[in-house]
Amino acid sequence: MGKSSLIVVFGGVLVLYLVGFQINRTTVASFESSVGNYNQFNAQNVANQAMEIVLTELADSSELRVPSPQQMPGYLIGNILSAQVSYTITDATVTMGGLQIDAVKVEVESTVGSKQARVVVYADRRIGYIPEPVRAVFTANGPLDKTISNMFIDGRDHDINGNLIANNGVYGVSTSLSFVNVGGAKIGGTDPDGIDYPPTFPEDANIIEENFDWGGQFPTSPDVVLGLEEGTLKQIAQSGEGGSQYVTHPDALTYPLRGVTYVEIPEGSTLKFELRGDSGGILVIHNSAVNASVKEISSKDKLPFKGLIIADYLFHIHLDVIGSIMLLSPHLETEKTCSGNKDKKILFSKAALIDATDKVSDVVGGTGWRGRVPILGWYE
Amino acid sequence: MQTLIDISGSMIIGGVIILLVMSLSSMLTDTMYEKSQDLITQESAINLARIIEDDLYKVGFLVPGNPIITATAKEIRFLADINKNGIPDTIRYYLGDSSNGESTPGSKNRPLFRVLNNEAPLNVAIGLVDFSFTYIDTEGTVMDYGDLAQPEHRALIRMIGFDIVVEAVDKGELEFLPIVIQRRISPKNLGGWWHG
Repeated sequence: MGKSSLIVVFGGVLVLYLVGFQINRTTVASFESSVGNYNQFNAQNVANQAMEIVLTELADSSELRVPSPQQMPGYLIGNILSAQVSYTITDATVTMGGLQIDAVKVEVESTVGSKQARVVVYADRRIGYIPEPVRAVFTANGPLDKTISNMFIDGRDHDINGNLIANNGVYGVSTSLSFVNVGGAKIGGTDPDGIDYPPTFPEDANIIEENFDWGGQFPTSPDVVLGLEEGTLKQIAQSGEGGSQYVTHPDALTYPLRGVTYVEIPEGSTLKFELRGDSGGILVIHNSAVNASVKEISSKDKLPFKGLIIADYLFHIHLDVIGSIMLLSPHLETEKTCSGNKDKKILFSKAALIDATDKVSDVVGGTGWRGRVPILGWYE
Repeated sequence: MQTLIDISGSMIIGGVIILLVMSLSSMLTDTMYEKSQDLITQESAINLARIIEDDLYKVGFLVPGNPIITATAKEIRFLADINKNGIPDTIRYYLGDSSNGESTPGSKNRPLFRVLNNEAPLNVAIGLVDFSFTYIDTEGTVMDYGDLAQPEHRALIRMIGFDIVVEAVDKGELEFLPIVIQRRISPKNLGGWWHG
Protein backbone atom coordinates (compact mmCIF):
# COMPACT_ATOMS: atom_id res chain seq x y z
CA MET A 1 0.00 0.00 0.00
CA GLY A 2 2.87 2.32 0.94
CA LYS A 3 4.53 1.70 -2.44
CA SER A 4 1.26 2.18 -4.31
CA SER A 5 0.60 5.45 -2.51
CA LEU A 6 4.08 6.65 -3.37
CA ILE A 7 3.59 5.72 -7.03
CA VAL A 8 0.24 7.50 -7.11
CA VAL A 9 1.67 10.60 -5.40
CA PHE A 10 4.74 10.71 -7.65
CA GLY A 11 2.55 10.07 -10.68
CA GLY A 12 0.25 12.87 -9.58
CA VAL A 13 3.18 15.22 -9.10
CA LEU A 14 4.46 14.34 -12.56
CA VAL A 15 1.03 14.99 -14.06
CA LEU A 16 0.86 18.29 -12.18
CA TYR A 17 4.28 19.25 -13.48
CA LEU A 18 3.38 18.40 -17.07
CA VAL A 19 0.04 20.22 -16.90
CA GLY A 20 1.67 23.21 -15.21
CA PHE A 21 4.36 23.23 -17.88
CA GLN A 22 1.72 23.15 -20.61
CA ILE A 23 -0.29 25.96 -18.95
CA ASN A 24 2.85 28.02 -18.65
CA ARG A 25 3.68 27.41 -22.29
CA THR A 26 0.16 28.42 -23.36
CA THR A 27 0.31 31.53 -21.18
CA VAL A 28 3.67 32.51 -22.69
CA ALA A 29 2.29 31.91 -26.20
CA SER A 30 -0.75 34.05 -25.38
CA PHE A 31 1.49 36.79 -24.03
CA GLU A 32 3.77 36.59 -27.06
CA SER A 33 0.70 36.78 -29.31
CA SER A 34 -0.41 39.97 -27.54
CA VAL A 35 3.06 41.49 -27.68
CA GLY A 36 3.39 40.52 -31.35
CA ASN A 37 0.04 42.09 -32.13
CA TYR A 38 1.02 45.24 -30.24
CA ASN A 39 4.33 45.41 -32.12
CA GLN A 40 2.57 44.89 -35.44
CA PHE A 41 0.27 47.83 -34.72
CA ASN A 42 3.20 49.96 -33.69
CA ALA A 43 5.21 49.00 -36.76
CA GLN A 44 2.28 50.02 -38.97
CA ASN A 45 1.72 53.28 -37.10
CA VAL A 46 5.41 54.13 -37.25
CA ALA A 47 5.49 53.35 -40.99
CA ASN A 48 2.53 55.66 -41.60
CA GLN A 49 4.06 58.38 -39.43
CA ALA A 50 7.38 58.04 -41.24
CA MET A 51 5.56 58.22 -44.57
CA GLU A 52 4.09 61.60 -43.59
CA ILE A 53 7.57 62.84 -42.74
CA VAL A 54 8.95 61.69 -46.10
CA LEU A 55 5.99 63.21 -47.98
CA THR A 56 6.59 66.54 -46.25
CA GLU A 57 10.21 66.40 -47.43
CA LEU A 58 8.99 65.57 -50.92
CA ALA A 59 6.53 68.47 -50.85
CA ASP A 60 9.40 70.84 -50.07
CA SER A 61 11.56 69.37 -52.77
CA SER A 62 9.64 67.63 -55.54
CA GLU A 63 12.91 66.56 -57.20
CA LEU A 64 14.04 64.62 -54.12
CA ARG A 65 14.85 60.98 -54.93
CA VAL A 66 16.35 58.34 -52.63
CA PRO A 67 16.97 55.29 -54.83
CA SER A 68 18.47 53.01 -52.16
CA PRO A 69 17.04 52.48 -48.67
CA GLN A 70 17.96 55.23 -46.26
CA GLN A 71 17.66 54.86 -42.51
CA MET A 72 15.44 57.43 -40.84
CA PRO A 73 16.91 59.05 -37.71
CA GLY A 74 15.36 57.72 -34.50
CA TYR A 75 14.53 61.17 -33.15
CA LEU A 76 12.08 61.69 -36.02
CA ILE A 77 10.01 58.60 -35.35
CA GLY A 78 10.29 58.23 -31.57
CA ASN A 79 13.05 56.24 -29.94
CA ILE A 80 10.66 54.86 -27.35
CA LEU A 81 9.48 52.10 -29.67
CA SER A 82 13.00 51.22 -30.76
CA ALA A 83 11.67 51.24 -34.28
CA GLN A 84 13.92 50.98 -37.30
CA VAL A 85 12.65 52.77 -40.39
CA SER A 86 14.08 52.93 -43.89
CA TYR A 87 12.66 54.62 -46.97
CA THR A 88 13.17 55.06 -50.69
CA ILE A 89 11.84 57.61 -53.18
CA THR A 90 11.92 56.60 -56.82
CA ASP A 91 10.19 57.42 -60.09
CA ALA A 92 7.51 55.02 -61.30
CA THR A 93 4.63 54.75 -63.71
CA VAL A 94 1.21 53.66 -62.55
CA THR A 95 -1.90 52.83 -64.48
CA MET A 96 -5.00 54.41 -63.04
CA GLY A 97 -8.36 54.71 -64.71
CA GLY A 98 -6.78 53.33 -67.88
CA LEU A 99 -4.22 56.14 -67.99
CA GLN A 100 -0.46 55.84 -67.62
CA ILE A 101 0.59 58.36 -64.99
CA ASP A 102 4.14 59.41 -64.17
CA ALA A 103 4.42 59.01 -60.43
CA VAL A 104 6.83 59.20 -57.54
CA LYS A 105 6.91 55.98 -55.52
CA VAL A 106 7.67 56.35 -51.81
CA GLU A 107 8.30 53.16 -49.84
CA VAL A 108 8.68 53.03 -46.07
CA GLU A 109 9.56 49.91 -44.09
CA SER A 110 9.51 49.83 -40.32
CA THR A 111 10.52 47.17 -37.82
CA VAL A 112 9.35 47.05 -34.22
CA GLY A 113 10.58 44.00 -32.30
CA SER A 114 10.19 41.09 -34.69
CA LYS A 115 7.32 42.71 -36.60
CA GLN A 116 7.57 44.62 -39.85
CA ALA A 117 5.23 46.90 -41.75
CA ARG A 118 5.50 48.39 -45.20
CA VAL A 119 3.68 51.39 -46.64
CA VAL A 120 3.86 52.41 -50.29
CA VAL A 121 2.54 55.69 -51.63
CA TYR A 122 2.28 56.74 -55.25
CA ALA A 123 2.21 60.49 -55.75
CA ASP A 124 1.39 62.13 -59.05
CA ARG A 125 4.52 63.68 -60.53
CA ARG A 126 2.27 66.38 -61.90
CA ILE A 127 1.61 68.48 -58.87
CA GLY A 128 -1.35 70.29 -60.30
CA TYR A 129 -4.46 71.10 -58.30
CA ILE A 130 -8.09 72.16 -58.54
CA PRO A 131 -8.25 75.96 -58.10
CA GLU A 132 -10.56 76.82 -55.23
CA PRO A 133 -12.70 79.37 -57.13
CA VAL A 134 -13.65 76.69 -59.68
CA ARG A 135 -17.05 75.89 -58.22
CA ALA A 136 -18.63 74.63 -61.43
CA VAL A 137 -17.73 73.65 -64.94
CA PHE A 138 -18.91 77.19 -65.79
CA THR A 139 -18.15 79.68 -62.99
CA ALA A 140 -18.90 83.41 -63.33
CA ASN A 141 -19.47 86.62 -61.46
CA GLY A 142 -21.94 87.85 -64.05
CA PRO A 143 -25.09 86.75 -65.87
CA LEU A 144 -24.65 83.42 -67.65
CA ASP A 145 -28.20 83.13 -69.06
CA LYS A 146 -27.17 84.09 -72.59
CA THR A 147 -23.55 82.95 -72.56
CA ILE A 148 -24.19 79.26 -72.09
CA SER A 149 -26.76 79.32 -74.94
CA ASN A 150 -27.86 75.79 -75.87
CA MET A 151 -24.64 73.92 -75.15
CA PHE A 152 -24.12 70.58 -73.39
CA ILE A 153 -22.65 71.43 -69.99
CA ASP A 154 -21.63 68.66 -67.65
CA GLY A 155 -20.14 69.34 -64.21
CA ARG A 156 -19.74 65.65 -63.46
CA ASP A 157 -16.09 64.61 -63.40
CA HIS A 158 -14.44 63.21 -66.52
CA ASP A 159 -11.03 61.85 -67.26
CA ILE A 160 -8.72 63.60 -69.70
CA ASN A 161 -10.43 61.79 -72.58
CA GLY A 162 -13.92 62.81 -71.52
CA ASN A 163 -14.91 59.49 -69.91
CA LEU A 164 -17.24 59.88 -66.95
CA ILE A 165 -15.97 59.44 -63.36
CA ALA A 166 -18.96 59.03 -61.06
CA ASN A 167 -19.83 61.16 -58.02
CA ASN A 168 -16.70 63.28 -58.18
CA GLY A 169 -17.66 66.49 -59.95
CA VAL A 170 -18.91 70.02 -59.29
CA TYR A 171 -21.92 72.20 -60.08
CA GLY A 172 -22.89 72.64 -63.71
CA VAL A 173 -23.18 76.41 -63.36
CA SER A 174 -22.18 78.76 -60.58
CA THR A 175 -22.89 82.48 -60.71
CA SER A 176 -23.15 85.27 -58.20
CA LEU A 177 -26.40 86.37 -59.91
CA SER A 178 -29.62 84.55 -60.66
CA PHE A 179 -29.64 82.06 -63.52
CA VAL A 180 -32.28 81.18 -66.09
CA ASN A 181 -31.48 78.64 -68.76
CA VAL A 182 -33.05 80.66 -71.59
CA GLY A 183 -31.14 78.94 -74.39
CA GLY A 184 -32.27 75.43 -73.54
CA ALA A 185 -28.82 74.16 -72.60
CA LYS A 186 -28.57 70.62 -71.27
CA ILE A 187 -26.88 71.01 -67.91
CA GLY A 188 -25.65 68.33 -65.52
CA GLY A 189 -23.25 68.14 -62.63
CA THR A 190 -22.56 66.82 -59.16
CA ASP A 191 -24.15 68.40 -56.11
CA PRO A 192 -22.18 68.97 -52.87
CA ASP A 193 -23.42 65.62 -51.50
CA GLY A 194 -21.72 63.85 -54.38
CA ILE A 195 -24.93 63.08 -56.25
CA ASP A 196 -24.53 63.05 -60.02
CA TYR A 197 -27.15 64.58 -62.32
CA PRO A 198 -26.76 63.83 -66.02
CA PRO A 199 -27.25 66.84 -68.34
CA THR A 200 -30.91 67.57 -69.00
CA PHE A 201 -33.14 70.42 -70.06
CA PRO A 202 -34.68 71.66 -67.92
CA GLU A 203 -31.78 71.09 -65.58
CA ASP A 204 -31.97 69.90 -61.98
CA ALA A 205 -31.76 72.82 -59.55
CA ASN A 206 -29.34 70.89 -57.34
CA ILE A 207 -26.48 71.38 -59.77
CA ILE A 208 -27.05 75.11 -60.33
CA GLU A 209 -25.49 77.50 -57.88
CA GLU A 210 -27.03 80.95 -58.26
CA ASN A 211 -26.64 84.10 -56.17
CA PHE A 212 -23.48 82.69 -54.68
CA ASP A 213 -22.06 85.13 -52.17
CA TRP A 214 -18.34 85.51 -52.76
CA GLY A 215 -18.16 88.02 -49.93
CA GLY A 216 -16.49 90.50 -52.25
CA GLN A 217 -13.76 87.97 -52.96
CA PHE A 218 -14.61 86.96 -56.53
CA PRO A 219 -11.28 86.80 -58.36
CA THR A 220 -10.70 89.76 -60.65
CA SER A 221 -7.53 88.39 -62.15
CA PRO A 222 -6.40 84.98 -63.43
CA ASP A 223 -3.60 84.90 -60.86
CA VAL A 224 -6.11 85.14 -58.01
CA VAL A 225 -8.12 82.28 -59.53
CA LEU A 226 -5.04 80.09 -59.27
CA GLY A 227 -3.92 81.42 -55.89
CA LEU A 228 -0.78 82.99 -57.35
CA GLU A 229 0.95 86.29 -56.80
CA GLU A 230 -0.23 88.95 -59.22
CA GLY A 231 1.73 88.83 -62.47
CA THR A 232 2.90 85.19 -62.08
CA LEU A 233 0.91 83.79 -65.00
CA LYS A 234 2.06 86.54 -67.34
CA GLN A 235 5.62 85.94 -66.23
CA ILE A 236 5.36 82.18 -66.89
CA ALA A 237 3.75 82.85 -70.28
CA GLN A 238 6.50 85.30 -71.23
CA SER A 239 9.21 82.84 -70.12
CA GLY A 240 8.01 80.34 -72.74
CA GLU A 241 8.33 77.52 -70.19
CA GLY A 242 6.73 74.27 -71.33
CA GLY A 243 5.39 75.85 -74.54
CA SER A 244 3.84 78.83 -72.75
CA GLN A 245 3.15 81.97 -74.82
CA TYR A 246 2.30 85.59 -74.24
CA VAL A 247 0.59 87.59 -77.02
CA THR A 248 -1.67 90.58 -77.39
CA HIS A 249 -3.56 89.12 -80.35
CA PRO A 250 -4.54 85.46 -80.96
CA ASP A 251 -3.16 85.58 -84.52
CA ALA A 252 0.34 85.66 -83.04
CA LEU A 253 -0.04 82.29 -81.33
CA THR A 254 1.60 79.07 -82.44
CA TYR A 255 -0.29 75.81 -82.03
CA PRO A 256 -1.07 73.54 -80.29
CA LEU A 257 -1.30 75.59 -77.11
CA ARG A 258 0.63 74.23 -74.15
CA GLY A 259 1.50 75.44 -70.67
CA VAL A 260 0.21 78.94 -69.94
CA THR A 261 -1.15 80.88 -72.89
CA TYR A 262 -1.72 84.50 -71.93
CA VAL A 263 -3.63 86.62 -74.44
CA GLU A 264 -3.74 90.20 -73.21
CA ILE A 265 -6.29 91.83 -75.47
CA PRO A 266 -6.10 95.63 -75.35
CA GLU A 267 -8.92 97.41 -73.59
CA GLY A 268 -11.96 98.00 -75.76
CA SER A 269 -10.95 95.42 -78.41
CA THR A 270 -13.35 92.69 -79.45
CA LEU A 271 -12.12 89.83 -81.57
CA LYS A 272 -12.61 86.26 -82.74
CA PHE A 273 -10.36 83.44 -81.58
CA GLU A 274 -9.83 80.23 -83.55
CA LEU A 275 -7.78 77.53 -81.82
CA ARG A 276 -5.93 74.81 -83.71
CA GLY A 277 -4.65 71.32 -82.94
CA ASP A 278 -5.13 69.51 -79.66
CA SER A 279 -4.57 72.54 -77.51
CA GLY A 280 -4.58 72.50 -73.72
CA GLY A 281 -3.16 73.96 -70.53
CA ILE A 282 -4.21 77.28 -69.05
CA LEU A 283 -5.67 79.77 -71.52
CA VAL A 284 -5.96 83.31 -70.17
CA ILE A 285 -7.81 86.00 -72.12
CA HIS A 286 -7.64 89.06 -69.95
CA ASN A 287 -6.62 92.67 -69.49
CA SER A 288 -6.29 94.86 -66.42
CA ALA A 289 -9.71 96.45 -67.03
CA VAL A 290 -11.29 92.95 -67.01
CA ASN A 291 -12.96 93.65 -70.37
CA ALA A 292 -10.94 91.53 -72.82
CA SER A 293 -13.74 90.55 -75.15
CA VAL A 294 -13.90 87.45 -77.36
CA LYS A 295 -17.08 87.46 -79.40
CA GLU A 296 -16.43 83.99 -80.81
CA ILE A 297 -14.07 81.17 -79.88
CA SER A 298 -13.82 77.98 -81.92
CA SER A 299 -11.51 75.14 -82.89
CA LYS A 300 -10.47 74.85 -86.52
CA ASP A 301 -9.65 71.15 -86.12
CA LYS A 302 -12.77 70.42 -84.04
CA LEU A 303 -10.59 69.09 -81.20
CA PRO A 304 -11.44 69.82 -77.56
CA PHE A 305 -9.39 72.24 -75.50
CA LYS A 306 -8.17 70.32 -72.42
CA GLY A 307 -7.57 72.46 -69.37
CA LEU A 308 -8.72 75.71 -67.82
CA ILE A 309 -9.97 78.76 -69.70
CA ILE A 310 -9.97 81.97 -67.68
CA ALA A 311 -11.46 84.84 -69.66
CA ASP A 312 -13.05 88.19 -68.98
CA TYR A 313 -15.85 87.86 -71.53
CA LEU A 314 -16.66 85.02 -73.93
CA PHE A 315 -19.58 84.56 -76.28
CA HIS A 316 -20.32 82.15 -79.16
CA ILE A 317 -18.35 79.34 -77.58
CA HIS A 318 -18.11 77.02 -80.59
CA LEU A 319 -15.60 74.80 -78.91
CA ASP A 320 -15.50 71.60 -76.86
CA VAL A 321 -13.74 71.93 -73.53
CA ILE A 322 -12.60 69.19 -71.15
CA GLY A 323 -11.73 70.98 -67.93
CA SER A 324 -13.46 74.14 -66.82
CA ILE A 325 -14.29 77.73 -67.81
CA MET A 326 -14.12 80.74 -65.49
CA LEU A 327 -15.42 84.14 -66.57
CA LEU A 328 -14.18 87.13 -64.60
CA SER A 329 -16.16 90.10 -65.92
CA PRO A 330 -19.39 91.04 -64.15
CA HIS A 331 -20.62 92.32 -67.55
CA LEU A 332 -21.30 89.22 -69.60
CA GLU A 333 -23.64 88.99 -72.59
CA THR A 334 -27.26 89.88 -71.82
CA GLU A 335 -28.63 90.89 -75.23
CA LYS A 336 -27.43 88.63 -78.05
CA THR A 337 -28.47 85.07 -78.60
CA CYS A 338 -26.33 82.17 -79.77
CA SER A 339 -28.06 79.08 -81.08
CA GLY A 340 -25.33 77.42 -83.11
CA ASN A 341 -23.44 75.46 -80.51
CA LYS A 342 -25.88 72.76 -79.50
CA ASP A 343 -23.26 70.15 -80.46
CA LYS A 344 -20.55 71.66 -78.28
CA LYS A 345 -19.69 70.13 -74.93
CA ILE A 346 -18.12 71.62 -71.85
CA LEU A 347 -17.11 68.69 -69.62
CA PHE A 348 -15.65 69.18 -66.18
CA SER A 349 -12.42 67.26 -65.65
CA LYS A 350 -10.24 67.24 -62.54
CA ALA A 351 -7.56 65.36 -64.45
CA ALA A 352 -7.44 68.09 -67.11
CA LEU A 353 -7.22 70.80 -64.44
CA ILE A 354 -4.43 68.94 -62.62
CA ASP A 355 -2.56 68.62 -65.91
CA ALA A 356 -3.11 72.28 -66.72
CA THR A 357 -2.08 73.66 -63.33
CA ASP A 358 0.99 71.45 -63.08
CA LYS A 359 3.11 74.21 -64.65
CA VAL A 360 2.22 76.74 -61.99
CA SER A 361 1.89 74.58 -58.90
CA ASP A 362 5.50 74.83 -57.72
CA VAL A 363 4.93 78.46 -56.90
CA VAL A 364 1.84 77.76 -54.80
CA GLY A 365 2.56 77.94 -51.07
CA GLY A 366 1.41 75.71 -48.26
CA THR A 367 2.61 73.73 -45.28
CA GLY A 368 2.99 70.02 -44.66
CA TRP A 369 2.38 67.71 -47.59
CA ARG A 370 -1.42 67.84 -47.76
CA GLY A 371 -2.59 69.88 -50.69
CA ARG A 372 0.91 69.90 -52.11
CA VAL A 373 1.59 66.26 -52.89
CA PRO A 374 -1.18 64.71 -54.98
CA ILE A 375 -1.59 61.17 -53.70
CA LEU A 376 -2.69 58.63 -56.29
CA GLY A 377 -2.69 55.66 -53.95
CA TRP A 378 -1.70 54.76 -50.39
CA TYR A 379 -0.91 51.08 -49.89
CA GLU A 380 -0.53 49.75 -46.37
CA MET B 1 -4.84 -4.68 16.14
CA GLN B 2 -2.35 -1.80 15.96
CA THR B 3 -1.21 -2.97 12.49
CA LEU B 4 -4.81 -3.07 11.31
CA ILE B 5 -5.36 0.51 12.47
CA ASP B 6 -2.11 1.58 10.72
CA ILE B 7 -3.17 -0.06 7.47
CA SER B 8 -6.68 1.47 7.64
CA GLY B 9 -5.27 4.89 8.44
CA SER B 10 -2.76 4.63 5.56
CA MET B 11 -5.52 3.58 3.20
CA ILE B 12 -7.72 6.52 4.20
CA ILE B 13 -4.89 9.04 3.99
CA GLY B 14 -3.65 7.48 0.73
CA GLY B 15 -7.17 7.58 -0.67
CA VAL B 16 -7.59 11.20 0.26
CA ILE B 17 -4.25 12.03 -1.34
CA ILE B 18 -5.21 10.11 -4.47
CA LEU B 19 -8.54 11.97 -4.63
CA LEU B 20 -6.82 15.29 -4.11
CA VAL B 21 -4.23 14.57 -6.79
CA MET B 22 -6.92 13.37 -9.19
CA SER B 23 -9.15 16.38 -8.64
CA LEU B 24 -6.19 18.76 -8.90
CA SER B 25 -5.08 17.00 -12.03
CA SER B 26 -8.58 17.26 -13.49
CA MET B 27 -8.79 20.92 -12.57
CA LEU B 28 -5.42 21.65 -14.11
CA THR B 29 -6.32 19.74 -17.23
CA ASP B 30 -9.47 21.86 -17.57
CA THR B 31 -7.43 25.00 -17.01
CA MET B 32 -4.91 23.90 -19.60
CA TYR B 33 -7.70 23.16 -22.05
CA GLU B 34 -9.35 26.50 -21.28
CA LYS B 35 -6.07 28.35 -21.79
CA SER B 36 -5.43 26.56 -25.07
CA GLN B 37 -8.95 27.30 -26.32
CA ASP B 38 -8.61 30.93 -25.22
CA LEU B 39 -5.37 31.24 -27.13
CA ILE B 40 -6.81 29.59 -30.23
CA THR B 41 -9.92 31.82 -30.08
CA GLN B 42 -7.85 34.93 -29.49
CA GLU B 43 -5.58 34.11 -32.44
CA SER B 44 -8.56 33.27 -34.65
CA ALA B 45 -10.15 36.63 -33.86
CA ILE B 46 -6.92 38.58 -34.39
CA ASN B 47 -6.12 36.78 -37.64
CA LEU B 48 -9.62 37.42 -38.95
CA ALA B 49 -9.40 41.10 -38.00
CA ARG B 50 -6.00 41.35 -39.72
CA ILE B 51 -7.26 39.77 -42.93
CA ILE B 52 -10.19 42.20 -43.12
CA GLU B 53 -8.10 45.22 -42.09
CA ASP B 54 -5.44 44.39 -44.61
CA ASP B 55 -8.02 44.62 -47.40
CA LEU B 56 -9.92 47.61 -46.02
CA TYR B 57 -6.74 49.71 -45.83
CA LYS B 58 -6.50 49.30 -49.61
CA VAL B 59 -10.04 50.41 -50.52
CA GLY B 60 -9.78 52.65 -53.59
CA PHE B 61 -6.05 52.08 -54.13
CA LEU B 62 -5.26 53.39 -57.63
CA VAL B 63 -8.96 53.55 -58.51
CA PRO B 64 -10.43 56.89 -59.66
CA GLY B 65 -13.98 57.68 -58.58
CA ASN B 66 -15.99 56.06 -55.82
CA PRO B 67 -14.57 52.58 -55.11
CA ILE B 68 -17.30 51.24 -52.81
CA ILE B 69 -19.90 49.25 -54.75
CA THR B 70 -21.89 47.61 -51.96
CA ALA B 71 -22.10 48.68 -48.33
CA THR B 72 -24.45 46.86 -45.97
CA ALA B 73 -24.19 45.57 -42.43
CA LYS B 74 -23.27 42.09 -43.57
CA GLU B 75 -21.53 42.78 -46.88
CA ILE B 76 -19.02 45.10 -48.48
CA ARG B 77 -17.80 45.13 -52.07
CA PHE B 78 -15.15 47.54 -53.22
CA LEU B 79 -12.51 48.21 -55.83
CA ALA B 80 -8.77 48.37 -55.21
CA ASP B 81 -5.85 47.61 -57.45
CA ILE B 82 -4.29 45.25 -54.93
CA ASN B 83 -2.12 43.57 -57.55
CA LYS B 84 -0.85 46.95 -58.78
CA ASN B 85 -1.38 45.82 -62.38
CA GLY B 86 -3.46 48.80 -63.49
CA ILE B 87 -6.70 46.82 -63.37
CA PRO B 88 -8.94 47.45 -60.36
CA ASP B 89 -9.72 44.26 -58.43
CA THR B 90 -13.12 43.65 -56.86
CA ILE B 91 -13.02 42.45 -53.27
CA ARG B 92 -16.14 41.29 -51.51
CA TYR B 93 -16.78 40.21 -47.95
CA TYR B 94 -20.11 38.75 -46.93
CA LEU B 95 -21.44 36.92 -43.94
CA GLY B 96 -22.65 33.44 -44.83
CA ASP B 97 -25.60 31.45 -43.62
CA SER B 98 -25.26 29.65 -40.28
CA SER B 99 -27.11 26.68 -41.72
CA ASN B 100 -24.15 26.08 -43.98
CA GLY B 101 -22.71 23.36 -41.74
CA GLU B 102 -19.89 22.46 -44.09
CA SER B 103 -18.19 25.80 -43.69
CA THR B 104 -18.35 26.05 -39.93
CA PRO B 105 -17.26 23.70 -37.17
CA GLY B 106 -19.83 24.88 -34.61
CA SER B 107 -23.60 25.17 -34.89
CA LYS B 108 -23.65 28.86 -33.85
CA ASN B 109 -20.69 29.70 -36.06
CA ARG B 110 -21.09 31.63 -39.27
CA PRO B 111 -18.77 31.74 -42.25
CA LEU B 112 -17.39 35.03 -43.50
CA PHE B 113 -16.53 34.78 -47.14
CA ARG B 114 -13.88 36.75 -48.98
CA VAL B 115 -14.17 36.84 -52.76
CA LEU B 116 -11.45 38.27 -54.98
CA ASN B 117 -12.72 39.09 -58.47
CA ASN B 118 -14.33 35.95 -59.87
CA GLU B 119 -12.54 33.49 -57.61
CA ALA B 120 -14.47 31.01 -55.46
CA PRO B 121 -15.61 32.37 -52.07
CA LEU B 122 -13.17 31.54 -49.26
CA ASN B 123 -14.31 31.30 -45.65
CA VAL B 124 -11.80 33.31 -43.62
CA ALA B 125 -13.46 32.92 -40.21
CA ILE B 126 -13.21 30.27 -37.50
CA GLY B 127 -15.57 30.44 -34.54
CA LEU B 128 -17.30 33.60 -35.78
CA VAL B 129 -20.70 34.06 -34.13
CA ASP B 130 -21.48 37.67 -35.01
CA PHE B 131 -20.19 40.18 -37.52
CA SER B 132 -21.19 43.58 -38.91
CA PHE B 133 -19.82 46.50 -40.90
CA THR B 134 -20.51 50.15 -40.09
CA TYR B 135 -19.82 53.16 -42.29
CA ILE B 136 -18.90 56.65 -41.18
CA ASP B 137 -19.21 59.72 -43.39
CA THR B 138 -17.21 62.92 -43.85
CA GLU B 139 -18.89 64.45 -40.79
CA GLY B 140 -17.99 61.50 -38.57
CA THR B 141 -21.59 60.31 -38.47
CA VAL B 142 -22.54 56.63 -38.66
CA MET B 143 -24.42 56.24 -41.93
CA ASP B 144 -27.82 54.67 -42.36
CA TYR B 145 -27.68 51.33 -44.20
CA GLY B 146 -30.77 52.27 -46.22
CA ASP B 147 -29.07 55.37 -47.61
CA LEU B 148 -26.01 53.38 -48.59
CA ALA B 149 -27.95 51.75 -51.42
CA GLN B 150 -27.42 55.04 -53.28
CA PRO B 151 -23.98 55.53 -54.89
CA GLU B 152 -23.91 59.20 -53.91
CA HIS B 153 -24.14 58.25 -50.25
CA ARG B 154 -21.50 55.58 -50.59
CA ALA B 155 -19.24 58.27 -52.07
CA LEU B 156 -19.34 59.99 -48.68
CA ILE B 157 -17.90 57.02 -46.77
CA ARG B 158 -14.61 57.96 -45.15
CA MET B 159 -14.29 55.30 -42.46
CA ILE B 160 -15.31 51.65 -42.33
CA GLY B 161 -15.81 49.84 -39.06
CA PHE B 162 -16.30 46.18 -38.36
CA ASP B 163 -17.25 44.32 -35.20
CA ILE B 164 -16.45 40.65 -34.81
CA VAL B 165 -17.41 38.21 -32.08
CA VAL B 166 -15.50 34.96 -32.00
CA GLU B 167 -16.13 32.07 -29.64
CA ALA B 168 -14.20 28.90 -28.92
CA VAL B 169 -15.14 26.32 -31.51
CA ASP B 170 -14.92 23.28 -29.24
CA LYS B 171 -16.17 24.43 -25.88
CA GLY B 172 -17.24 21.15 -24.31
CA GLU B 173 -19.03 21.93 -21.05
CA LEU B 174 -16.70 24.75 -20.12
CA GLU B 175 -17.65 28.42 -20.14
CA PHE B 176 -15.65 30.75 -22.36
CA LEU B 177 -15.89 34.47 -22.75
CA PRO B 178 -16.22 35.43 -26.41
CA ILE B 179 -13.49 37.56 -28.01
CA VAL B 180 -14.93 40.84 -29.29
CA ILE B 181 -12.92 43.01 -31.66
CA GLN B 182 -14.09 46.41 -32.88
CA ARG B 183 -12.06 48.19 -35.53
CA ARG B 184 -12.50 51.51 -37.32
CA ILE B 185 -10.43 51.77 -40.47
CA SER B 186 -9.87 55.03 -42.29
CA PRO B 187 -8.72 54.00 -45.77
CA LYS B 188 -6.40 56.74 -46.96
CA ASN B 189 -7.52 56.37 -50.55
CA LEU B 190 -11.06 57.50 -49.77
CA GLY B 191 -11.76 61.18 -50.32
CA GLY B 192 -8.29 61.75 -51.67
CA TRP B 193 -6.89 63.77 -54.52
CA TRP B 194 -8.70 61.80 -57.17
CA HIS B 195 -11.85 61.07 -55.21
CA GLY B 196 -12.56 64.69 -54.46
